[in-house]
Amino acid sequence: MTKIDRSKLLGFKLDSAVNEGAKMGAKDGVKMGNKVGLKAGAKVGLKMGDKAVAPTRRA
Amino acid sequence: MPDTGRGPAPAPSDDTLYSFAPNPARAEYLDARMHDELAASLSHLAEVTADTPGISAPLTEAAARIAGGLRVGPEAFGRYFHIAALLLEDLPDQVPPNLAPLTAATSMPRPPLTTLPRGGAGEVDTLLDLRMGEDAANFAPSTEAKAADLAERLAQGFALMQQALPDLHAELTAIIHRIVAAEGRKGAKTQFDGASHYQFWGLLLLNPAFHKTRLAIVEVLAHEASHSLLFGLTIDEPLVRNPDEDLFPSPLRIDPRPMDGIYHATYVSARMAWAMETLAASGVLSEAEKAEALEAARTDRANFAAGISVIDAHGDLSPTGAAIMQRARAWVEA
Repeated sequence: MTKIDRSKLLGFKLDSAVNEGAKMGAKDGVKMGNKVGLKAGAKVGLKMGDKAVAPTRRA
Repeated sequence: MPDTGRGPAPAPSDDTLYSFAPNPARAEYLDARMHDELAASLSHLAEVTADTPGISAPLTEAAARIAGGLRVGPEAFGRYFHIAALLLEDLPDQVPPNLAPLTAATSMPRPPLTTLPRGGAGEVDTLLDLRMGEDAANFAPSTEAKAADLAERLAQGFALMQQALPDLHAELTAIIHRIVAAEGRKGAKTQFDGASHYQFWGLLLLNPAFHKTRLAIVEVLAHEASHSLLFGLTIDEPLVRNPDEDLFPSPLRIDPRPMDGIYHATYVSARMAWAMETLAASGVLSEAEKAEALEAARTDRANFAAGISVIDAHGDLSPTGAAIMQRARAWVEA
């Protein structure tokens, strides 16, 4: 298997854009890749509204 | 991407693409663009696994079918994300069991809008559990009867929307093709009322315990469809560049959220206000419904004000995020 280019993958390319920031400067590419891979779901993942059981609130 | 003779969807102008008002042509473009991206992503995964034909070939074939114009359901997108995550985590040995489901999900056109119960939603159930892990427990199984009851209410809401908000109806039906009725987690202090997920393009999760009137159905559909719209506009760059670790008060949820969540909640609030006010002015509501719609719109506008103040103070918006929100703000302030 050759190296995956995240910038060519729907969803995962978004983390590539975030990674351009200094905060994500790569010290250990593999570890960061794994960590960011897991983050991908959270970054643009679930959008959930909720209502308190009591009292009811609009979400 | 395989050469199928079909080029990528042509991009509309920025004013169309980022239009605050619903725009059916924009929705059709975004649906096409998401499929183009799915095909290109599968094609890239096929390239990097070319030394393992058993993996590469089914990926290439799925990519070709989608690039050729096949429109697929949320299970195809979810399965792609699962396969991509496995390969990114250098776990190719775990990919083969996912290939037959990918082939199945990319062999037939997606069916028309369908409402199914969580626990009876087949591949979508499996993939929600795979992709969301512990969060999947927030979406508990429902029953065929409750899903059927929700589907009846949805039909009433869609009919009202088609009559009074035809562009929103067209935009929504261009994007949403599957609704899963799921119940809240037993004993939880809060119950989800609706949800959508970037990795499941075309899917909405709705809690049948809520949304009891046609007006409430329109409101929740306007809400969730706006999340989906933002997903479709979040292809090339994120909406915000704030770190996920930084949390802020949300106008719509009791728990603090990352700026991406604040952005979504704020934009969605403005679109809900638009839907409720446009509906109230349409002349098709009863007086009681009109009063309810205007009250909902007041709440939605207050939520927008709360959210935009957080964004103005702390948001680091991308050019795409700024272009979208600028148009929402212009409508609210007009």
